[in-house]
Amino acid sequence: MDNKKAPNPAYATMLDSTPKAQPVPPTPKVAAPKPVTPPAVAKPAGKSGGNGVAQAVGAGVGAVVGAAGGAVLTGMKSDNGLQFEPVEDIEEVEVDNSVDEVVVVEDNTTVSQPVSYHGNVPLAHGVNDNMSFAQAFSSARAEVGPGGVFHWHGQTYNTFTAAEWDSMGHDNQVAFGQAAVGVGPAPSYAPTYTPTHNHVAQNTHVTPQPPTPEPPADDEVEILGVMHDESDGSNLGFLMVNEDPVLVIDVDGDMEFDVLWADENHDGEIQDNEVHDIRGGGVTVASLGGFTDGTNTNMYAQNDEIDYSNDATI
Amino acid sequence: MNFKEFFRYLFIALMLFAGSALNAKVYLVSVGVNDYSNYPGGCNNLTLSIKDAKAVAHLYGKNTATEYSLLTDGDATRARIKAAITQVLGKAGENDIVVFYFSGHGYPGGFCASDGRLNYSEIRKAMSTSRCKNKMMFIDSCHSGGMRQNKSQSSSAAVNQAKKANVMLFLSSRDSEISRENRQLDNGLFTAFLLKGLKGGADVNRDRTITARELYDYVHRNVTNTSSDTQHPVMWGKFNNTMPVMQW
Repeated sequence: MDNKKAPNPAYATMLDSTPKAQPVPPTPKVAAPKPVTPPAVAKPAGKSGGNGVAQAVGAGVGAVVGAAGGAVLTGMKSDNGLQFEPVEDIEEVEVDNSVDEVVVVEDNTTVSQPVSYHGNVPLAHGVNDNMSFAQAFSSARAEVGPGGVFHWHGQTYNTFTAAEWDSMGHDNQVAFGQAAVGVGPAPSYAPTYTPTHNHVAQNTHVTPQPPTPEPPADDEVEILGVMHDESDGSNLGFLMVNEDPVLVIDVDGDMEFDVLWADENHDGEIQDNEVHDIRGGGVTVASLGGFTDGTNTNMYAQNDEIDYSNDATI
Repeated sequence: MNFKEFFRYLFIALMLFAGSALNAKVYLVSVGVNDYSNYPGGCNNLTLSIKDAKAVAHLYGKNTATEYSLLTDGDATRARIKAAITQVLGKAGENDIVVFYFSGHGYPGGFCASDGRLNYSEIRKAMSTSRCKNKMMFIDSCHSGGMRQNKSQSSSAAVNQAKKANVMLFLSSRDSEISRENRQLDNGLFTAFLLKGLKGGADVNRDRTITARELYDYVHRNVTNTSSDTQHPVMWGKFNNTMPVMQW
């Protein structure tokens, strides 16, 4: 992907205008995400939504990273108790490493399975938290094949094996992450898979069911735009995650965003634990669609936004 | 009370009111930060913020009885800004006018002193120490529109106090927007039109009084147009449309 798109034309016309955004934020006090390391078996692919407000935004942190960084990184564990675990922690889960060797015994009965989606990738529903991870993975894999996702203990995982994931290449991993949160098309590289009546670890019998409506994606990520700060070469990315504004900043102008700001507790301010280091998460200018053209420079602004009130609660 | 006595009392009342108005004084803290070399983690410098702060101080100083504190660059630390608000604005009487002006970097939820982040809540808290009923804030920094959101306030006492006061926030851009400097205008885009408006440009009815609504209309229109619809100033608070912001 071309990362060298011209700066925002509208911005460029304002010759001597310097944004007063804070291009270089303070050093966040939250733990920086760990280096990208392919997990042993399966990787989270975005974050399943929580019901709480803070959770929803926090989930967005994972979603943003997941959106551009593929399934490699799901988010950070911040002080607010959000359950985002670095990928490495997944390896601590007791995993049956024989997953790669699960033999799917197929019969000749092709069934019409209900297919719903997490973002734009198939979501497996036959998983529950009573299963071990290996069982959950096998069940999901059998249900949607590679290139899908499933929820297990509050996290979202993809159904690629480690070998498949490693062989995909970074671009495909990013594309999958985007697709998983609904900001990219279903990845064309994913192996086609026809669900079949199959037997997995528990010999679960799949009963044909009528199609069901697609549930909404857990995290709705809307990329509003990316602006370039000509004064120091930094870049600002504006997103809405579950209808909450999220700002990502590429401090050093290397086209990869370094810091994410999200008002997770909705107090109207950014606290230290709401500043997340996303270096290495793969969220780039290109992955957010490049620099915004001149037709969409209002970012979060709505045309009907009220700019004047003399009767507001102060 | 006969007719003559009535007019005597009325005259005395008017004199007292006029005296009160004449005695109203403006207490201003004006802050501008260009140099962010001491900002934790680094931050790029601006070029016009000090000029902005000085111009605002000069304008108020020229036009009204004003006591002000001007803080720039290294003096505009978090601690000094809060101290100046508390000390200078704390001198204001109930019927005086207190004004806080800031020009510099901002972030969602606050703005940047020369040595670190200053959350809106810290400014609100400092401003709340003044017993003055007439409070104005002019903020020229990115995302400053976020200052209108004060969801943390839940104290009924605070709400009641706010209802009795005139509080006006005039913010350079919406919370989602960046605010810009404009060297061709010699000031930040917002401040440039703020100054022009206060100097008379906003006085639509030529009565030599710039009201809140007049000022908003003038500044909002010009900043929005000049920024190609990318920066929208926000005026927010509890005040009368006709509240005088500047009189000549």
